[in-house]
Amino acid sequence: MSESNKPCIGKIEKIESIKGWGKVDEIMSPLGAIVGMYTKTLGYKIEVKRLDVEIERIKEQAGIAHNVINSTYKLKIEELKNRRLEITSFHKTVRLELKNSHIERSQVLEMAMRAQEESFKPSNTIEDKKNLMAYSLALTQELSAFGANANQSLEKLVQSLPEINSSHKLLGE
Amino acid sequence: MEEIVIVAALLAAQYYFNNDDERARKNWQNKRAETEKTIKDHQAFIDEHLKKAEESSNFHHLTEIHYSSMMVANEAYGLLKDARKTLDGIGTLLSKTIKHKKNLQAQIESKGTPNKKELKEELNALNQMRKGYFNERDITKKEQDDMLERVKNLNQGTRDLKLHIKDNCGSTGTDWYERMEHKRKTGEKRPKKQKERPKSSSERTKYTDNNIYGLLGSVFFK
Repeated sequence: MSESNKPCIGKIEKIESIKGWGKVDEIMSPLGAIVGMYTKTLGYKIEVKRLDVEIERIKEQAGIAHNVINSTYKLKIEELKNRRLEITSFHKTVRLELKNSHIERSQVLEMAMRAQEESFKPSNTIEDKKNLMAYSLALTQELSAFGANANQSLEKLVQSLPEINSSHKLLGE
Repeated sequence: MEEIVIVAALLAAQYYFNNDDERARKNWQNKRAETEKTIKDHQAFIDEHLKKAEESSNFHHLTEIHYSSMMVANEAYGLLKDARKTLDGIGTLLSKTIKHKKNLQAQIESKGTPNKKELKEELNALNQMRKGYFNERDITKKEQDDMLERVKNLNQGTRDLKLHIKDNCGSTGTDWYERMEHKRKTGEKRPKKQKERPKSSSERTKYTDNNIYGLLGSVFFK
């Protein structure tokens, strides 16, 4: 079977007429025009029967095509549902990470401010002041690390976004 | 006489078969036309069915991505707010440092101040801290700028996707787009706490991207 004659889902095959009545006509020629007409009539009747079968075939083929479309559609929707569940759980995890990071970052900033405030108090010794200042600075330096981690988590979320395929075909090409 | 009878019989037979042949031919032509019509009708129905199924499948697929994209953009916006808050915090630390530095310098310059050596030591530590703060401020400023750019890109991507759904998912896509735009314009927002996530995709489309657009909308989508 050549490539173009291959049956495919979604495309109903064309009908073809029976050829070769002339030969029968020629063989029976001794019986004259009556026999020729009878042969043609018979040929027409046979062809009508064949077309009845063709109509049945077309209906069945169409039914199969509709079933395939429905099944493929259901499968796609099911895939989407599963993907949604996966992505929801993944997003939930990353969101929690980001939320915790946000809380920790705010707390660290708050601590850095308190340490600085404490370092400015005249009642503290010079050593305590110096330590508190160093502590405040160390805490502030942690803030950018939180930012970098949060950025990584965001990157994970961005990577989880699927590519948009605009030539998306349900039954393929 | 016999010959006449044979010729008459042949003529009668020819007339009969001629009529029968004509009927059979017409019947065959009608059947062929019916078959062609059946093919055409079924093909059109299959094409329509396939088109609708593809549109629906695409719609669900794309609205799913749109929802995820919106969520990611919201998270990015959250990080942008964090970076801004941190930058403000470092700014406060710096202004307090500068204020205290001036105070220390005034004390050092004042003639009657005891323990000038300690004050100078404190000033040195303060300068060290101040330098560190400046460094952190630059890092956080860069983080804020990068995040702002990222939020813009994500919002643009979400917006493009919304238009793509409108243009490529038939009437369902157009209706969805209209609903989203209406919600965005009227400022309708999703309830803050959603105990359960919507189960069906059609329910999901009730969500609005208004939260992120609402926060940034007029700035990025003019």
